[in-house]
Amino acid sequence: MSTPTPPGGQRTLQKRRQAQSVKEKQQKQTPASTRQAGFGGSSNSVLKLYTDEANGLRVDPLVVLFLAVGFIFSVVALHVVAKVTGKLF
Amino acid sequence: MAGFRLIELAKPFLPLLPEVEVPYEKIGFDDKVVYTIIAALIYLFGQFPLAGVSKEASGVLDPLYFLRSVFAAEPKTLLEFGVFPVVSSALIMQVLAGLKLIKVNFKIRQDRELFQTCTKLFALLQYLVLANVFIFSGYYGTDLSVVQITALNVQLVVAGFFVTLLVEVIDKGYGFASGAMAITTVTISTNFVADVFGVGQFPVDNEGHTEPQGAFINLIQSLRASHKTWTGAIVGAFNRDYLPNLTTAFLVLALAASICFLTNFRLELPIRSTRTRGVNNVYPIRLFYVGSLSVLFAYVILFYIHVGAFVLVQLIAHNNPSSIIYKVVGGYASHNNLLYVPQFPLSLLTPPKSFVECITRQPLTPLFFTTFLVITGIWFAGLWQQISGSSARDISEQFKEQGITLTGRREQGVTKELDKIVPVAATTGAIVLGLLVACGELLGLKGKGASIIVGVSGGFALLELITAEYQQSGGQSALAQVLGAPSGGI
Repeated sequence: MSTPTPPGGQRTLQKRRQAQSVKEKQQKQTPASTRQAGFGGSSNSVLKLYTDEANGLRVDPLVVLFLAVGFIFSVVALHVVAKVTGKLF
Repeated sequence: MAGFRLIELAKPFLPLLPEVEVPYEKIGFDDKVVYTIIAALIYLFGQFPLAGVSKEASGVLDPLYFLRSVFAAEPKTLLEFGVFPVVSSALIMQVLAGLKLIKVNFKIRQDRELFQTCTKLFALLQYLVLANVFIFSGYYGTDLSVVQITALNVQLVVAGFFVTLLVEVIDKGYGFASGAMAITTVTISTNFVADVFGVGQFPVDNEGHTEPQGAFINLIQSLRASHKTWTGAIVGAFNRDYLPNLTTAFLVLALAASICFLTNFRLELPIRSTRTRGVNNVYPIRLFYVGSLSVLFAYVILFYIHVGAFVLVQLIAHNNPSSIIYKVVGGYASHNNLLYVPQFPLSLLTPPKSFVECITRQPLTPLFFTTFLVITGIWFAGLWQQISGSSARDISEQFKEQGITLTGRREQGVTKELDKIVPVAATTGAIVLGLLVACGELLGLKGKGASIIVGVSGGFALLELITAEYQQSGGQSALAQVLGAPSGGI
């Protein structure tokens, strides 16, 4: 039986270099989705779209709900106006 | 230039697009229930007829009738396109980013913001383009005035804008999990109930007889009607093809039941703690690893193909049988003055109206349609399990953080072992779902089969998150106490 190679020397250096490069490669690899990066978002079976806070025009959710209802009522009003005047369209 | 990035395009729009605020504090369980239900209800109210559609029937009919119910869209209403632009933009952008065709670094906050804004812009753009395709094809009537065109445009695009915002309200954490999926699930279930128990009457012949929308109500009404015999009534209830019949209702129920059954299939991997001895548990990997998303993706692609064909055949060739485009792509034949049925070769990707028609008139469709669903499903599932942050590597990283390992494996071997299971589960699940959808659709469900599958499996995905949430914070839920449910977290 041959004696095991003594520790240290060229090989260890090579191994260290290899480990280092693997580590660097992993760091360079960018995640493919927000969830993979660890910030929520769509998972394997659930589609979750807008989860990040962007610097846009901030609106309150209640405002959105009320405006949506308001929009639907404005379409209702449009129907009524078109029916009454009979010449809008 | 170091590289132009697509998401940079969204930069000028960043300050303009409305953003729902992220909640300052955690929203309670009851509030979430209320927000989700109200958002879905407002969406349902959006099924309101468009103003400005011309009264005379135009020759152009609905070419997408078999795709609508999957995306919770209702023809000639504010929700003409439903959540399709939202879902498709999200899926397509995420897939492109996953394939590294769009350069995004999700670790950087600004990139994530831009990506999200870009997705939203893409959705709005699709609403605009689709609205104009339908307006100028003559779907809302030929010879529309400028006022009508503007009014239709405004209604369709603003409705789309609000759909996007409603989805965002739920997604941002005010509601449960996913807005798009919650909304489609609610709409699909509502439609199913309306198809079985709907009481709205529709005129069916020139003598002034009416029939109700609901298949079951129709059976009872026909049995009581004086102008029908008993057998005629029963046969009619199972056979009518202008309104929902009992056969489709039973088929849809059977599909829903089989999905319920198959959802429970999972592989339970034994896991143990690396920190404490003797703490064992199981980690489930379900067969439908990507859930309904594979079907949704296949339908997104189908939608694009059919809209593209509609543009070519109707907008450019005016559905004229003598034009070259008609001969190459296939045109549309009207059916009952309600639907535009695509002809060969476009019919290869169109589910038939009934099983008999499928066998006699479209013998190639079963093969082609099924293959299409299965192949897109496999491709998507394979990709999605890798990029969605639930791949084998991501799971093993989670394990490492929580000090868990698979029983009989070292920590380093976990990724390898999971890599043997997760992609297989995802693709097999996608194949099974694709086959089920094909089965339902080829029997002539006109999109109802696909939609119930998307609805039920999406519902299960949501239910899982909702129960998890309930167990964490349901103890204080006033709703649960009122309903007398056992308090969670025990």
